[in-house]
Amino acid sequence: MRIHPVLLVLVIISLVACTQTSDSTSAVVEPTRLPSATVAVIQPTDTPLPAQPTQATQPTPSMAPTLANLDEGAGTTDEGYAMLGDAQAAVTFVDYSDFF
Amino acid sequence: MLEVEPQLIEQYVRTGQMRIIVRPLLQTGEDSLLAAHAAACAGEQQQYFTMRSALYANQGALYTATDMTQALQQVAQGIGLDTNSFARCMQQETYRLALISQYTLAKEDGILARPVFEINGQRLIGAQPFAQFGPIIDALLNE
Repeated sequence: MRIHPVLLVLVIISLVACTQTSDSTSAVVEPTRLPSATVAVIQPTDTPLPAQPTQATQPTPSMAPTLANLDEGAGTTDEGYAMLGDAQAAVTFVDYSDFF
Repeated sequence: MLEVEPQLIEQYVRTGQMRIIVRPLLQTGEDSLLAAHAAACAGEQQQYFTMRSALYANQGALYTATDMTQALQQVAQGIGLDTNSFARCMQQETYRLALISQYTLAKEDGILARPVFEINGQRLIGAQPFAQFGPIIDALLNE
């Protein structure tokens, strides 16, 4: 069976066109979207966050000793020196000074 | 120290993080001893640090006073002490030997200048601003 030359040309043109389309499709690099939407999507919930337990590192003002109270513990010792503050405090500050 | 001590008290003593110990030096002799003794007697009425501040505030007048005992009695009256108890303590020289003993120990420990400060044993010689003490104390508290 003989193929008509015009028909043969059309078939070849069609095949070439299909190949080029396929190549161009595979060559397109779609820009990747940054997942910014993920960050923006976070919505506040109606459920309140659980309260964070506060760690008391210092006495509250009502518990803090007054200077008068401090002085009550600051009487002169028999050894002839005075102390102000908690005897169990982490830091001891010794002041050697003269009144004159 | 008059300016620095209140800051130390507010920031570290009131919060329970630090205690202050005062060891008086007696480098000017009998006058130093009388003033230190006056502070010690005020301590019997829980007013050591109040008296100490008053003594520093009146340092010039005390230094030139002709009658130191009388001048100290006036300071005690000025801060509201029971002057009878104060006078009795001064007269009995209750803390005289202890103060002399403390001073002797301080000298033996190399305390020859004034003032000298020791923060957990770390010695600083000479008057220091609060900015000098703060970082040292903070570092010790963070250990």
